[in-house]
Amino acid sequence: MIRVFLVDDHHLFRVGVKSELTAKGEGRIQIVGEASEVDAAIEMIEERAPTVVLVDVHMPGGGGERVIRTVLSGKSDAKFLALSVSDAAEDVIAIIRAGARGYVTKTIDGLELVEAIERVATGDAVFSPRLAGFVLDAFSLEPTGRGVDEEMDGLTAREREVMRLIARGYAYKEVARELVLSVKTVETHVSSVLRKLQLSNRHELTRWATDRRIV
Amino acid sequence: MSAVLTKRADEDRVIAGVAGGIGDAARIDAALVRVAFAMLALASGFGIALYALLALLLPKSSVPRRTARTRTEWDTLQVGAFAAIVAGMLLLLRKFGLWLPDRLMWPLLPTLGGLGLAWSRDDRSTTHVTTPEWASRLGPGFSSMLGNLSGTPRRAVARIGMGVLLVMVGAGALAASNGAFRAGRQALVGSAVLLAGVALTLAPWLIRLSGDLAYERRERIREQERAEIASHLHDSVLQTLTIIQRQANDPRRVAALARRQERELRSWLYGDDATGRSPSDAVTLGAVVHAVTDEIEATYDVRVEVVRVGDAQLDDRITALVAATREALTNAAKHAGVTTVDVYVEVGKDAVEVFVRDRGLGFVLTEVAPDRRGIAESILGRMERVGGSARVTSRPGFGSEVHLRLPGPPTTPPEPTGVI
Repeated sequence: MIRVFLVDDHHLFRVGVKSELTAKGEGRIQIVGEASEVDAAIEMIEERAPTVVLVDVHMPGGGGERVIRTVLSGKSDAKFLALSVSDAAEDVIAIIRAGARGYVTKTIDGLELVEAIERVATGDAVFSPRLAGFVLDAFSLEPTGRGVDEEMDGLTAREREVMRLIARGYAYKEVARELVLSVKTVETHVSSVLRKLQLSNRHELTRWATDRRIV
Repeated sequence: MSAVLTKRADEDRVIAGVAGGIGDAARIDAALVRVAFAMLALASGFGIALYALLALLLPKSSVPRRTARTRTEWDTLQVGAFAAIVAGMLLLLRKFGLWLPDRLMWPLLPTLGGLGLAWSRDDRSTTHVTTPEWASRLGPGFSSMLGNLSGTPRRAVARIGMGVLLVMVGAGALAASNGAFRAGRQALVGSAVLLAGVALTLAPWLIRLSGDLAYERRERIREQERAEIASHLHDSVLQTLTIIQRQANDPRRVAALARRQERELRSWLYGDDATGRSPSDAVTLGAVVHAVTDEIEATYDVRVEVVRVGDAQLDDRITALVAATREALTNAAKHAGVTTVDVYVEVGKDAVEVFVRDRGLGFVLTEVAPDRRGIAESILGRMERVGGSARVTSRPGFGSEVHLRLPGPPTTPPEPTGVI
């Protein structure tokens, strides 16, 4: 059983997710708590030690980003999966760089959400097609300037292929089949891309994300 | 009248409401009472002791002051009587020796009195008096400023003037009695003391004025934003909600309308199409693809998820690519029996590619009836005429994917700039 904690300021949404997870994740997922505000969430996560925290990107008082940063800077080893209605590149990149291991939109259906939670619980990353698209777009520019880290600032050919298939709407299993790899290998590639996304200092990444915030 | 029953004021208070309460009971401005306490405080702290004593003795008022009584005019007789009482107390205290040296005490008293006059807040001095029409046409900020200047009642002007005069007399006397005017060098000190006095006297009025202006400006900006949001919501969300109500018995149509509205609202809130780039420019591949997917969503009961990397300028070949994409989408929406179709558009260095993917029933290509010319003509034919290619992958259990490829470097659109 995976211990799941919910953080979202919309009451109705929490109710919906809970009933969906209870129905589709029976025997696999146990909801150990929920919070509607940042500070309460931080406190309760440290107290209840969930395996996976589903966290909303937009919340008053610092949003999911603050929850993730605060909890991860403490002793907790909870893993975070971000849920959002916003597809804005800036939000997505920010929450991933704060330490979320995945990002899905709130339109995701129940079964897929259960799978995503299981994937995050085992330490893998969850990429939606949109997030894969962002990665391809952001890493498509040639890295420039000083301090370019070859390994961190670019995608390998294999990683690029995996990202393209995910952007095309392929599930990990389908990606594995298409590239004649094991699912485990695909997961390793995705996790490696996630690490680059979180740790790369290439300034293009931040600039790219801000450029896409068009008012 | 409860003039004898003095209570501590609940609202009109600085410390414990003693001055407010006395002012209320004696029908004089609380500011004058406060000044009186300040004067008495100079007398070796007598005022402070008196205040503390009264704060303990007077009961707290339970009636909100504003409903209890509204102070109207200054009652000259009352003010005079009050001043006489205070003066009497001061002389008495002087007699008993609770007194600072005369040369310090006498100039300080008119200074405090003047400040009290100028600071006593007559609410009417800030109320907005009707301004001429030409002034309001220049903007609310200006007209309110004018209202503050010209609309200040003459009585208030006289009050402030009196205050300034008293402060100047006091400050001057202070400077003179301390020998400031004796040396020429010290004349400067004297005028500095005078100026500081004047500035001090007028400070609350100026602070109030600039506060009013800033508030006015903030309100105006907020008002503009509110109007903009309201007009947008009216044109979009409200209209859609009206249509939805009228078609409430057709769930498919309602879902389609809701989806279209969601997409539109999203693009308004977050930028063009969630993946970025310029919203106004309809001559790019990205913009046209989004127009097509919107249309498909509105026509069929499906959700189209678009992911796009890069963008290209529209030309004949790109237009053909979009037409083929649209055909592939229509096919998926009509025949695959799914609720979601994924579209991936990638503008690379050596090709533009589009993938249309569904997880539907899938089919075996050779079994497609020859009369379904969609795939053969609209997709393959279109792509080949512009030098591209189309490949359809489909099998039961996997769904279908249409891969459209247009080789050659695309014309990249100019980076969005501030100039339109």
